[in-house]
Amino acid sequence: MDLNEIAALIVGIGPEDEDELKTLASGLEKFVESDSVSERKKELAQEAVRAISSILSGESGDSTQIFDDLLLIIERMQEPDDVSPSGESEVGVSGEDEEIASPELIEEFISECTEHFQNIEQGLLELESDPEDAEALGKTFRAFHTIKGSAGWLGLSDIQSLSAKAEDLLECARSGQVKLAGVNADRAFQMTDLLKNAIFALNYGEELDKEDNPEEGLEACDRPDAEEEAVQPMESSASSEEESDEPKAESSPEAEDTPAEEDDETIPPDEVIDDPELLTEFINESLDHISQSESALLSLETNPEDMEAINAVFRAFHTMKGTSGFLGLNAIQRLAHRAENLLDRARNGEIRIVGGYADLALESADMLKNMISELKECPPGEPPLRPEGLMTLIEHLTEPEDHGVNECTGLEISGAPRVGDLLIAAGKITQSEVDEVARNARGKKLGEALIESGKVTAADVAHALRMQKKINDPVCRRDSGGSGSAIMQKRSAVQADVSVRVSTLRLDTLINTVGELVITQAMIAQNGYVTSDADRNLTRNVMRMNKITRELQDLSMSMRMVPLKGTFSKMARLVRDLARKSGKSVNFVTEGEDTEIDRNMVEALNDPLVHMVRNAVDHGIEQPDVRTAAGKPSGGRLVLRAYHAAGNVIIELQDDGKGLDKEKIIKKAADKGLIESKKDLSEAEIYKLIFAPGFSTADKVTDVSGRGVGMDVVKKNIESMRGRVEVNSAKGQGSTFQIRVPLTLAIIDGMLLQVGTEHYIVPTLNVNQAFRPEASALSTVQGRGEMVMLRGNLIPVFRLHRMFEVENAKEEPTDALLLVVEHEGRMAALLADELLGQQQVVIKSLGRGLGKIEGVSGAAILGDGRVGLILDIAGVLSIARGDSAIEAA
Amino acid sequence: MSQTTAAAEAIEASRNLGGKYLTFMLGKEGYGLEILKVREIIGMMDITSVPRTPEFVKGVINLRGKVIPVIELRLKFEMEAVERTEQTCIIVVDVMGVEMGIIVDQVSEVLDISGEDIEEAPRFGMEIDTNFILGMGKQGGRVTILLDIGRVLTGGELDSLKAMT
Repeated sequence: MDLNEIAALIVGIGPEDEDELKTLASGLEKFVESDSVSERKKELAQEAVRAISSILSGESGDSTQIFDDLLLIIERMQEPDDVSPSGESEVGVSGEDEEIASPELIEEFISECTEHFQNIEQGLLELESDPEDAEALGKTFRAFHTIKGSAGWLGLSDIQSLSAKAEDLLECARSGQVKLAGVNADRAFQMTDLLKNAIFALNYGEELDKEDNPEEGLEACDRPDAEEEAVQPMESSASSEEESDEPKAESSPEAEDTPAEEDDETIPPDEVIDDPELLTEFINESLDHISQSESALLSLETNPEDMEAINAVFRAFHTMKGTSGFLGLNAIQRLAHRAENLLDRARNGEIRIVGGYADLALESADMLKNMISELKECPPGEPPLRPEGLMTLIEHLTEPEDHGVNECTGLEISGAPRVGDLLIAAGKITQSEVDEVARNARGKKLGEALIESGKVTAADVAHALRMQKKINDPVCRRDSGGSGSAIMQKRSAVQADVSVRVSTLRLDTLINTVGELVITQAMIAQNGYVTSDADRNLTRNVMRMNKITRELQDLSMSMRMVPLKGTFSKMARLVRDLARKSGKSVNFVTEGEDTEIDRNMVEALNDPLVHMVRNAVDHGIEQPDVRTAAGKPSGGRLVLRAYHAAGNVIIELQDDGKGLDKEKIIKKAADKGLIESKKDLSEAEIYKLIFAPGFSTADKVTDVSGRGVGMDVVKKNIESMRGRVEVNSAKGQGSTFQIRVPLTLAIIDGMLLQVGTEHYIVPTLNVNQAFRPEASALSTVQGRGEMVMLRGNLIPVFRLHRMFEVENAKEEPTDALLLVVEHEGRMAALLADELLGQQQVVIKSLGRGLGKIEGVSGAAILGDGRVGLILDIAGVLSIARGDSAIEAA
Repeated sequence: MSQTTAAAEAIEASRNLGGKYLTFMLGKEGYGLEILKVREIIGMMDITSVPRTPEFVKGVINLRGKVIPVIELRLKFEMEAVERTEQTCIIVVDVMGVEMGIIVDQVSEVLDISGEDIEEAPRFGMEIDTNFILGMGKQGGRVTILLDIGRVLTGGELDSLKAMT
């Protein structure tokens, strides 16, 4: 059996075809024994045999995964043996890296570089705002220099020469020959990204793709304009330096990259994304968005009037549009944009997402998913392939009616043959049978319907699906020359960083389990036998266990906390790109980026912040000429700051742009029917309107923003993490958005109260003070409504035991305790028996079966293993006020 | 999505109801729960009452670090409350991913009831809600009321909770 026969055999089968696999294995064994085969191919063949036997034994869980690997191995066997890199160095890169030093050293180098990159990016951003900043320049220079040195020592010649180029550029900047602004700054960023790629590629223990990456980058770095620029400023005066950059920036490719016009049918090529982290983030985010939109679309099929679902789909497409635009993934952006338009029509009631429209929307979601997974698998440095059928789909989306799409039709857009066709081709079923089943299969997948009808077996359908996937899968379609690197990249994408990524779910489970451990430990420590000190050894061990448990608890809690730095620097990059795209100049300042916050929160904060920043740059900050005319400095100022306040993290985004236009908001809101136009609204109420879904004051919808979804997303996300958003604005002077979120979603600092037989926890955040009242301080209204005088203020008293119908509670306030709580500036005193202490508790939900209960925000497990309810003071007060109103009536 | 649930329901209806049931007592009446929905049986423990819930919601308990609601089945069925005894226990059930505890007087045994021994639920008019009865099992001269616990808990509870808020 020769190689081609082997390849032909494997293409037609799947992991469940045992007989074929056995034939394949024996073929491979013969292949190994033959003499004319190179060592490399022999090794690969042996690997393939091992993979087959592990599929056949059924020991490994995921046979499909192994089967995919098997496919890759065979593909690699088909490649010619001499795959040595063909990169001939013209720019002084020595072709081959020397024998690489020990993996430990490389690992250390990589983690070192990660730090350097942080410094570099930070430095470059600082330099952009102030090219004269010698300290930032020095910092960046040093970082490149160190990388160069270490790389040279380790024999990583590529990285060494690349960092040397960067260092040269910085050196020029240091000597005042060039300024790191405009094009030069872009170049510096580009080099950083290239270098980052090169270094992270090491992480995966693979050679760099030489043709693609560094040389191209080096050429770019070597382009003469670096020198040109270096010469120019010397001729012109220092003050005209800024202007001399301007025309250049316009002629640079990035400037041409401005948002493509709506009617333009060709899509500009995708940019190459050099930041693997950014890309992974985008991919994960997008997959989430797609799956959300899919489930919403599905629910729309049964209930097309569901505005919530329409909005959900719309938001998903919108967010993807924004992020892909920012990343320069034009094809995805265009598709998402068109899909968004479709949903917008549904939102306005023009169409309903049923029939052909639903197909179209789902088709878009699928296409986006394909493109995203293509993105995941495409090697860095290469633009992702565009799936077939994309342009057709976009056309259909643009003018659905022209293509015969309406609420009743179905629609077929597919680059790959359908499952039914494949089954017919395989002779498993006839055309008429497929048609018949398809007619009855309303809404079900054809494959499923066929299996149910008993016409074909599940294996046949699975086979056909795999065929379809294979035809669809661009990696397999790629010509064999490129497939080598594709395989390597596929591998590398799977591998993780030096740090371990743990799903937050597992982290939560760990924290819960540790919480349980703490409680159990406390129970043991309080056990009568242990406290009686009968066994000194036992007592000592229990004490030690106590200590270890506490440490473990602290550790598990701290694992959740991360600084906001990462999020902030992402925003810095976003601001930079947005500003350059829109031709505005923005000075972005971050404060308090070391503020720590729960990991979950960091992820959840990302989306809202992106929207807010985008809004601020796009709508808030004006064009330079407008600013100058208004007597403001031409560059806008955007401040992102974070700080802790009263157990919360506060994040503020402050711009000095045009501010919110109150009249325009009111007018728009009235147009949209959100308010009655005559109604008097307070300033805060007006600003609240911008968070309504679909609200936008922008006159034109651009590919960055203007749909008015953004602020809706912000509010939804923030509220879902028990936070709130506030807006402050002065016309002409700018706006401040303030997000206030709790430090963590998992823990709350609470006061433990006893009321009769029950224990309640009141968030310390709400507690003002606790005291035992004197009889003289108490007074009543109409014999019922109780008040207490505290430092000259009259505060209403609410009896918790009455409110919650608890028995055996202390009735006499002078024997009991008043807990003064505050909510939204209003004070109230709650009557409780006793204050048992202050403690941090892990918040748990009351269980889904109970739903939401007014006045109770959750439960916590107390030291004795019992459940204590956490009071929601806002709810308690609203109950109390309602109750007292009824009582008074 | 709804199509699949509809299909599932159709299958549910046509399915033979025979199978294993965990039987328990409420007073003199014998009840049965599909064994697959039963997670575990635990003894009585301290229950933290939750304010402003229907009377039959006794509160929440700590099930190894998880907080789950507990309902008193007697009160749910509008039977009179009785003193807790040694035999009183909590059956933890899992209804479509939602865990809940139900307090019963006494757990009896696991019965294998065949399909032909199950009769359709009788109708009593408006007075007694028989919606959550899967059927009546007759085995060994005894009648066991087979509960559709999903209906008992989710339908009833959530509706009354929604009605309150």
